[in-house]
Amino acid sequence: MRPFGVPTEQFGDDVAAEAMARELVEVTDMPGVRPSDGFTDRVMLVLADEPVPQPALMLRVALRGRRLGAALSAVRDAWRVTFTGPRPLAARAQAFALVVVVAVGLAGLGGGAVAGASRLLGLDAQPSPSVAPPPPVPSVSPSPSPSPSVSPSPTPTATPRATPTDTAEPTEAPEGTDDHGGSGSGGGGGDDSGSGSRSGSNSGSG
Amino acid sequence: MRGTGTFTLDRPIAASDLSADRAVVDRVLSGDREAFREIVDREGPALVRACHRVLGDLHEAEDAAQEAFVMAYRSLGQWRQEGALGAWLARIAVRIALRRAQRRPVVTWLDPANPGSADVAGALDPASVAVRMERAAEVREALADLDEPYREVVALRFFGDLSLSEIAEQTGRPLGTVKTHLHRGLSRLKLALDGVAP
Repeated sequence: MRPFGVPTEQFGDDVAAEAMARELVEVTDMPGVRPSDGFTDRVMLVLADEPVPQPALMLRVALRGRRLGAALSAVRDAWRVTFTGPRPLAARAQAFALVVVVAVGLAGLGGGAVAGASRLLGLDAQPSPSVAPPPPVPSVSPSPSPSPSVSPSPTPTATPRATPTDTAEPTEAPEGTDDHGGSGSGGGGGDDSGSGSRSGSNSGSG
Repeated sequence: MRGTGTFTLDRPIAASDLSADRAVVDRVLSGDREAFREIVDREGPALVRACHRVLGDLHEAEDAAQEAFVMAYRSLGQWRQEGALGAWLARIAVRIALRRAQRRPVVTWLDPANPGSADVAGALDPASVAVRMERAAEVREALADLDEPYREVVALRFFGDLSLSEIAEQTGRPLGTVKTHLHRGLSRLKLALDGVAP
């Protein structure tokens, strides 16, 4: 340690920096400075107009303690944090989220209440679909419907297709697969579309 | 600590202090506004002192400290609860004080006929007090004109009474970087003062 208690290792051999540090210690040595009487009260008076910094947390605590007044106060604080004064962005975003959640909840609750009340009062104008009688079913034969749709499902997709992969080329890019790439599903689709186009050409020529 | 003129490189934070800080902050965040009074009572003198070192005027320092408390209250949920609450508050206060010092058009000079307005010189005679206060004003002015991040580091170290590790923690910079910034900041400050000093 050196004079004025400035640790040596901070400044190394830099005389200028050390001299400046010494001077700063000297200049800022003001032990008698203290706040005037009533400073705390003045600060608290200013803070009395401030909303609680985290209304969401306050709301949670209020709901857990089932204190309706505190919960309403938290919602009011959230509104103030969202729309008044300079606030940290995180606090504002959190308060805004709380306002949105409460608004959506209230809207849903109100809508449900209105619907329930109107149902109770019989004001619902729409006839319920369950009242409609079932249409008379024509008693025709049940039509055995042999359903010849056997659907052979020609899906030989697992065609091993012994491709002579004796090419020594490094197949990094998928360019070499001319028409083998989609050998499974792609091949099936190609056959179907091909038949369609053929029939079209036949009709055109005939 | 400040009265002896000794700076410690590291000021370890007791776990009990940190947990007490957390408890008070949790109470405030859960709606107990009056719990913030404990914080103001405890940290008020340090904040006013730090602001006074930057601004050189007690009334202005109190205004700056009050603004710092209001700002801290608004963003109390952002306190990371890792470092000491006092260090976090000191950083806010020093930044506000520096901003005010930058905006201030005139330097506060000591009236030699009324040295009691700044009881910084102990039992010195008025002329010595005047010279010292003049130099102190020059230092403050030069510090306010210093570039960032040097200004903040020097101010937090010498005006805000924070240790280097606390500065590193509060600013989110590595300790080595803070030491470098402090060293360069002091060198630049000395250069600026030598340039303007008669």
